Amino acid sequence: MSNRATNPRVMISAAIAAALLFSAITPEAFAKNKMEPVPQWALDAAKIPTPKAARDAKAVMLFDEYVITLDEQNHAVERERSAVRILKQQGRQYAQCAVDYDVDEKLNYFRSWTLTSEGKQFQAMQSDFTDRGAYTGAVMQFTERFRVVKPPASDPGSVVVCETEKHLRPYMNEEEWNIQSSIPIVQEALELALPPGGHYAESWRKYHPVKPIETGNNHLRWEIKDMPALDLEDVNGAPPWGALAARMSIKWGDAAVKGADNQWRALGLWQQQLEQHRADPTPEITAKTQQLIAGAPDLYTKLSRITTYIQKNVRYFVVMRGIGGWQAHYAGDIFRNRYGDCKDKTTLLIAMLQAAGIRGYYFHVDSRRGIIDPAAPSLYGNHMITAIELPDGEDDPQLMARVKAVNGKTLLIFDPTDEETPVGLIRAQLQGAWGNIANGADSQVLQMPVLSPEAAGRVRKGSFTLAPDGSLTGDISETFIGDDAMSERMFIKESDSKEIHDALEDRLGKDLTNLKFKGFKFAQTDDLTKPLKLDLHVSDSNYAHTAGALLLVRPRVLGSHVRTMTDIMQGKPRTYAIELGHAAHFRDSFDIAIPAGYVVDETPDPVDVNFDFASYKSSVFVKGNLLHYEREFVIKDVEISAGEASNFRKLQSTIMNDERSTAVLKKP
Amino acid sequence: MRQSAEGPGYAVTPPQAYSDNATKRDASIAIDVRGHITGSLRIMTTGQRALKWRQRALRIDEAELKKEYDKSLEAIVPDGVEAHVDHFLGLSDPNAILMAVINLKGTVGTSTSKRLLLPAAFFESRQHTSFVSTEKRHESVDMGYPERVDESVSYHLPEGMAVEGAPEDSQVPWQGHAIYGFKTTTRPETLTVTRQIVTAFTLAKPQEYQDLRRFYQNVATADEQQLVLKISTAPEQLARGN
Repeated sequence: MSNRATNPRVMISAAIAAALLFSAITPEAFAKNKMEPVPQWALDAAKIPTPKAARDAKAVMLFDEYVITLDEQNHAVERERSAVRILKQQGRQYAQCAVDYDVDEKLNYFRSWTLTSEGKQFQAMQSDFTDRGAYTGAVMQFTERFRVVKPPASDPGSVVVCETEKHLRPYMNEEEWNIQSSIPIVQEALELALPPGGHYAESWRKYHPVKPIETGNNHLRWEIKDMPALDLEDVNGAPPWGALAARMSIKWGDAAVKGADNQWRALGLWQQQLEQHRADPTPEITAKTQQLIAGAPDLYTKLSRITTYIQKNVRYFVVMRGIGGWQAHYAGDIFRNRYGDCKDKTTLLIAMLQAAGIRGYYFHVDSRRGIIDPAAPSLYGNHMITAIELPDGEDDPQLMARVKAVNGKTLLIFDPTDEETPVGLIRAQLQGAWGNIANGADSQVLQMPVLSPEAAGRVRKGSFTLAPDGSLTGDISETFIGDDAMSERMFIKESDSKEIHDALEDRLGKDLTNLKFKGFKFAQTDDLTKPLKLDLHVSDSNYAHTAGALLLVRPRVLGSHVRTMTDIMQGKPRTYAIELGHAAHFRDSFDIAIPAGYVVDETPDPVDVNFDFASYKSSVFVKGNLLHYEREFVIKDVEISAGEASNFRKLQSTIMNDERSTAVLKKP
Repeated sequence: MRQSAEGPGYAVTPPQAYSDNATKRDASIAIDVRGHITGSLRIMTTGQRALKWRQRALRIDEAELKKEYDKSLEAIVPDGVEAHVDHFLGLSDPNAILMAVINLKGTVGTSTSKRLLLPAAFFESRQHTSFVSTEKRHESVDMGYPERVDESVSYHLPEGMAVEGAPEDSQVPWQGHAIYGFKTTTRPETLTVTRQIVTAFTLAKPQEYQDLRRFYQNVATADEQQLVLKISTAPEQLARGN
């Protein structure tokens, strides 16, 4: 189906890859150069009227049908038929159809026709199809590809129909039916043709379960009509699209068990069986682990040494082919080669933990919060991380990212692919998200914790001197922890010194228009267990402005917590949750020495607002010849409900007003 | 390359004058002592900017065009101000001036107990990136096209509010290349700010980079200034109707 949860991964030579790719497309898959008649199903679909509710849409999906046919080995062939009517000029993009294929996923055919509003018919010819790799990125080697058609005459009023058929991966027992799109869908259906004695299980997300119609012996059909669009184009700060969209997961074979808990357990068992013996430590791994943990006084130190070793020494590199999209390499190979993807890094970590007498487990997650839903078991997800079993009574406060499993064990969640987040913490996108632990009969879906605001944030201090001509000179020191240190460290790692200089200059220049950037220095960049420090030296030749006899100064010299959320600020009705980023505590403190001959005539009023999800306070006062500004901003959660939109608006308005507030100086 | 009576040959497309690409922004705004505003804005364009919107209108319908135009306005109106296109005039006539008629509402500036401080340049008050310093420039700076932008913002002041301080009228010239002008005019109950920027060149040569940067730094400094309005009646009293 179009939005896949799984991707095959392979490492092969270019010559073999070419041969395999060629074999993945049958001659039938290539479009003909002679027009074929439009099939009857397409003619019927094109007659479906546009519903009233869809008339403002850019395009409407009139018909979308999947038929999955399983043979006695549970190998599946999937056919898709779709018809889209273009309603507006800007809806032309919806005319394109695409299908993915791979070495294990042979494409049988792909055809497309256009039926115009004037009654003309066109068929996409070979030159209208293109093939491209499914992913980009210098750290990936893969064989999966997309075949895309750009249909002719896809103008407003036209109906574009597409028909594909392909073999699904023989080792998978699940497909995701994405029943919602960014345009409305009038009619959609999924048919499942099971072999004799075959059985299935289903799970639904963001949609009430639909009962299938039995259209034949072991032949089931689910139908849905008038599915509204999920269009987030003009929605700021929404959760990821996939976290809000309706979908259904259909399972067969061993995955087809009843009940959510049982389905999660079956998925965990499948994953565990797939990785069996992959994480067994070799003598070399054991020796290295013993060397790393020698003399470590406590569990935190042991974990820190092992995880830091993997973060710093195992390069992230993805090789994707077939089952390799799900199955890791052997720990010994990963250790020897010093590279791997997320599963590989987890595998090596589990092996090293085992060598240190600590149990670790595969924990399947998605890097976007909200995609995995505990009520809808499926293999949906794009990332593998590690759950580390903590001994009973282990209460080291540095080990914050803990969850309690149903078997009573406490697990520490850690992502070995994240090279900038130390053990004990997890980055914001994982906080509050769900994942499935592969632990035999104890496999289960678990929610990762939202960390305390004190686990992340920044302290910024500035000391400045203002001259009578309005120029400002000063020094700033910043200290970052948690997720804020992680993003800064990533920025440092991915940039050379000029890029860092330019990016900092750009950042400072947003508040200091006539900036002269005199220099910067980062400290404690490598040791993830310590806060990251940054010193900046700046001047601005025109910071304060005269207005008649007055000198106007903005006490908040730099930094902003304002977010561009136009729809919320304009009070538009809100349906979706609002993403806050990450829980954190930010503190700013600035002293500005005012020029001789001036006194402060007026300062902005103090600000203090407090909501369940955040608080903000600031104050400006005069200490001798210093104009002192300080503020604290605490974000307490990662996401809030749509019902909090008006409070979020109040918070943002307060911050915006505070950040532009002005102190008035005058000559006495 | 072009075909002429003498056969094929090289030709240079004619340069444009800044007057060929003109934008005029006229705003009329009613403001209260807390900085709440309502008003209207008309943006009239000829040349390249009009062409861009007309070309866009060929690919999307008018409702979508209004949405995109609103989005472009978000970058130029002050934080806290909403701008929504009511209608377009001359959209389908390439020989006419393209006019967008826009409604404004929201809050502008920042207030203290005695004063309301407004951004001097209404359309330039958003936080933006400064013109970074580069010691050596190897390539010309391409401005796209020469252009003239004229702005006029009239604030209609309520009773009890008067201008206490305003930036001095100023001009920033860059001889032979560009000019910037800023002026405030105060009449009873009305404060009008006019701003003009003309760039009469398309390419600035590498050796002109420092002059170019100096010009835009001076423009940014002038645009950052504030208007100070004194409130003689406390906002609370006005709210109570005293």
